[in-house]
Formats: sequence, C-alpha cells, structure tokens
Amino acid sequence: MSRHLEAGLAVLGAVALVLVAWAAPWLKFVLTLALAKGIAVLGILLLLRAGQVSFGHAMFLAVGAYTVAFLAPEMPEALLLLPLGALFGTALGLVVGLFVARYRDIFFGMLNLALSMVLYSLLEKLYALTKGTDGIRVAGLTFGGVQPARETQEWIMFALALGLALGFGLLVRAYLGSPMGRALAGIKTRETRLEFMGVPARRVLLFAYVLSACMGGTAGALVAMTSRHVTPQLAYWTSSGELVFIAILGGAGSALGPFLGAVAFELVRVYAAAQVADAWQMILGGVLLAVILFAPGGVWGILSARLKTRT
Amino acid sequence: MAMGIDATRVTLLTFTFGAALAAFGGALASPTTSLVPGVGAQTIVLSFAVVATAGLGQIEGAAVSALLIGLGRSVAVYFAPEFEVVVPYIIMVAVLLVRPQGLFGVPETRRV
Repeated sequence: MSRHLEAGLAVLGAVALVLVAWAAPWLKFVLTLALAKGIAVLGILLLLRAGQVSFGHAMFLAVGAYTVAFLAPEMPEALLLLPLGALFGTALGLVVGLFVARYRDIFFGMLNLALSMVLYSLLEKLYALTKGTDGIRVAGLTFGGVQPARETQEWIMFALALGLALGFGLLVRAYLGSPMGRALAGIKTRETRLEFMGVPARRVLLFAYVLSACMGGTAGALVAMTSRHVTPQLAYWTSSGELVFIAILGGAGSALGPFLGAVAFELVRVYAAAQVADAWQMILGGVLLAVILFAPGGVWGILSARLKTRT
Repeated sequence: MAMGIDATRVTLLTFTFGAALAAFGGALASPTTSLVPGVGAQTIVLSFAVVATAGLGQIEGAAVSALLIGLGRSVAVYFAPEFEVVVPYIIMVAVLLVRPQGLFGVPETRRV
C-alpha cells in the first residue's frame, strides 16, 4: 500500500512543482535549485541508512559544479557537461570513499568535513586556476547544439532537474530494496554480525558512498548550470551542513523525503529572507530544532503518518 | 547503570565541562585571532583534527598533536603559504591511514 502511496505522492508533487513554476516564473529558479539539492541530499540519505553522517558532502557538489565551469568555455554542450560532472563526482567519491569507508560515526563525519575543507581551501587559494572567492562565471551553454533563449533555458533546466530527481529517486528506491541496500541498515545496527554472515561491510558502504558522490556531482552540475556562477562557497562546511539539515528536515524514511525537505527549505529561506532579512537563519535554526524535538521523521514522517491514519 | 552510576548525569557533567573548556579556550585565543560569527566552525574542525591525530581520549597525546599541527602550519606558512590551511588535514589523514586509532590511541575490540 505504501508503495502506491509513495508513487502517487511523487507524481502529485511533480505536477504541483510544474504548476507552481508555471504560475510563478520567478520561483522556477528556486525550485530548480531545490530539486538539484534534493538529488544531493538523496545521497546523504543513503549514508544515513547506514547510520553515517557525512559533514562534507558538498565537496562532490562543488566538484560537479566546477567541472561544468571549467569545461563550459571549450565544450558548451550541457547534455555532455551534466554526465561529466556526475563522472568527476563519482571518481572523487571512489578515491575518498576507499579511505573514509574504513571509518565510522564521528570519524566518518569529520574526515568528510576535513576533506571538503581541503577542497575548499584549494579552490580558494589557487587563484590562478579558480579565480579564488570571486568564482567563475559559467559560459553560455548549448542544449543539443542550439543556444536557447533565457526563458526556454530556464524551463529546460527545470525539466532536467525534475527528470533527474525522479530518475534518481526510483534508482535509490530500487537500491534500498535490494539486498545490498538492506545491508546498509545492518551497518547501522551491528556491523560485526553482518560480516559473520559473509557480507563485506566496507564494500557495501563504499558502494553507497560512490553512488551518493555520483548524485552529489550531478546536483553540482545542475546548480552550476542553473545559477551560472560557481564559488568555493559551494564546498564550504555550511553547504554540507545545509544538505544534512535538509535530510533531517525532509526525513530519511523515503526517497521522497529529500525533495520535500529541499523544497520546504528553499521556500522557507526565500520567504524568510524577504520578510525578515536579518533573522532568516534564526528562523531556519528554530525550524530544525522543532523538527528534531517534535517530528523526528521529518516532513515525510508527518505526511505519511497523516495519510496512514486516514486510509 | 548496573553499577549504580547515573550515565545521563555523567554525560551531562562531561558535556558541561567540555563546553566550559571550549569557552576558556576561546577566551584565551581571542586576543590573537580575528573574531567573526563563524569562528567556531573553523576551530571545531581543527580541534577534531588534533584529537583524531592523537587518538580519542588521549589527553597528553592531544597536547603533543596540537603542537605538531600548530608547528606544521607555521612551517607551511614559510614554505608554501597557499597550502597552510590544508596542512592539519594532511597530517591527520596521513596519521589515520597508518594508525586508524590515532598516534597514541589504543585499538578498540569490536562488539558483537
């Protein structure tokens, strides 16, 4: 029953997003970024299933984004840049994952944080290559060989983000249902028992890590193409913290959680920043505290509990 | 718990004492660093790098590795200023690659 519920909600959500983007064109940009971040948070969700929190996941987002920014002048084809961003994210994920998959809990989180800070420092300090904190402007992109008008391009990016969000959502659902995805929960409860059963825990975690890095890279490429400007800020710890924040806000119970969380987060941020420019961070912090204290399952938890009691 | 020790109370006291020490450290460091609202994050990452390099729970070890990392940074400022910020992490990663439990840490037995 909950399968149909999830699928129905996903379709409903997608339709709602399209309607909102159509009715309020300025929100299209916000929603595209929200969907991109949702894809990155989907990666965090995989690691949360194994009980591990990565405080440095924004590094994969930054790698995807900088891939686009570096390559765009020579090769402006967005449909090639997107998979390349994902590829570089995956490659870095494999290298970093081989190292961090050996550690658990606080070590896992902080090593990720440390490595993302290394990337941030390099992006900031190697001025000749990355233009430092000024960042790089992403050159004009083409889609299938043509350079569309601004309005069309915004719609294409929105559609790409939505399509990829649905695709990755389905992938993550299938993965979490598979034996390898189930083993992630085993890492959370008692890893040694998993190994007694002959399941190599480190490899299970590594696979999840690389998959989540791939999603981070994709999200980064989408962010770079949408905002058309990349800065080292993307790799900074606050960006990683934001992703973890969204994961908790949305709830880890379902592949829909990250997207619910991301859309809620971006909308709260946009409106809070417009209404009370000085205190929007305080409002976000208050929302997070309220979620942790009163709704540990996040937005998804509230929603599914509501729907289950009714049916 | 079974031995009559109130675990919650011990955690509370430890947390309080840890927070007090952190505040004390901040007060000591404030005259020599610039104060910005985000100063805590930079410090917590560095502090963890120090603690992880030393090994969790190693008090003397933490002092030694703090010295190691601090001197490492100063040397880097002289030789390769661009990479000064990266040095603590490189030291930590290098140490953890060879000794996952840290320089002075004792390996833990795994629970079944």
